[in-house]
Amino acid sequence: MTVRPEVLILILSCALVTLMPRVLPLLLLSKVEIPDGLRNWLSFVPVTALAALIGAEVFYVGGKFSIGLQNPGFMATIPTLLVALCSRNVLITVGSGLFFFYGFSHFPLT
Amino acid sequence: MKVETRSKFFAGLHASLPIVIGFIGIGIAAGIVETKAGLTPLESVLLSSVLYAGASQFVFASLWSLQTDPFTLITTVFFMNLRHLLYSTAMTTRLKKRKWYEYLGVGCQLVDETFSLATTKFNHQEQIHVPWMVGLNLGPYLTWNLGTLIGIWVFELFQHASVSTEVFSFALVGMFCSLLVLQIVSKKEIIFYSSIALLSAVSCVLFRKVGCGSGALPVTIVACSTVGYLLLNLMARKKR
Repeated sequence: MTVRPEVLILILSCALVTLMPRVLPLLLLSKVEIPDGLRNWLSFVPVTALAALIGAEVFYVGGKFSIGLQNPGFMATIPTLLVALCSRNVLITVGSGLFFFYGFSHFPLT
Repeated sequence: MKVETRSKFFAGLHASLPIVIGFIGIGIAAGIVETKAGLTPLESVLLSSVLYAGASQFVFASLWSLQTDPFTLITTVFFMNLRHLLYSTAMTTRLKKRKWYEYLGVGCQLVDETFSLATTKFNHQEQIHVPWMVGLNLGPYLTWNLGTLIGIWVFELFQHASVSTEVFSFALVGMFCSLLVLQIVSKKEIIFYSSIALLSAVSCVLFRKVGCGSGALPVTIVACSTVGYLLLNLMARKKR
């Protein structure tokens, strides 16, 4: 049960640079009336952020760009999105996603 | 605690249930990956409890094991998590006239999943109750840390066996897929928002290719939100 000082400093620094964007807007901008334009622009953020997070995750295998049959993450994402659309349920989607991912990694179609 | 506060808190906690179950799996993966990368158990626990930022913990572990210099490691984590700036800003319109410590409490545990769930549960004008949001944030936070502990324990037990964490990591993608679909179907222009989502997923790859590195995520979000905003305004103007 040890913590090396250099690792502790690294963790605290990373936590600080993560905490700032998380709390500063809430603390500072909540006093200001946000204009309608910016408000509409912000309504796009959940969609673009989630899609970008999926893209960053599934278009790569071992850090290399890859789409198609040899990429189980990419292959599994397509049926997972369909399940998400049909079920509208997070748990069912995560469960089927794991199932598809397992399937495509162990029984590739190539 | 007032009865109303308590019931709002538990309602938020209940709403976090789908996230909680996913977070156990990914938390386990995080615990395994971090200790595998050479962090001590207590360091892994600190990472999950103090940093508490899913994907960037995996990146922290991998950069640490590659002996990356501290400056690169910290700036990478900074750019990866810069998107929270937009989440926090978007939350200000739903949390008006609160105390500073309420903002601090809600903000410090804001993650992709809780932000996304909170914005689909409440429509544009509605205000979010702080106790509800605290409940929604706290469930995933606690299970994330519990998952990390289990992961560390699993790694200690099976140190010599190779433990595959890939399948667990895909739980994160499954969760993002589900939340994305829930976001899109809550809008009026479903096909339009789906196209913007596709654009965003592809742009993320392109921005990384042209050298944005860890900054690709915030750049993509800003660029694609702007494209979506401009196109939606253009369409509205044509209709008039």
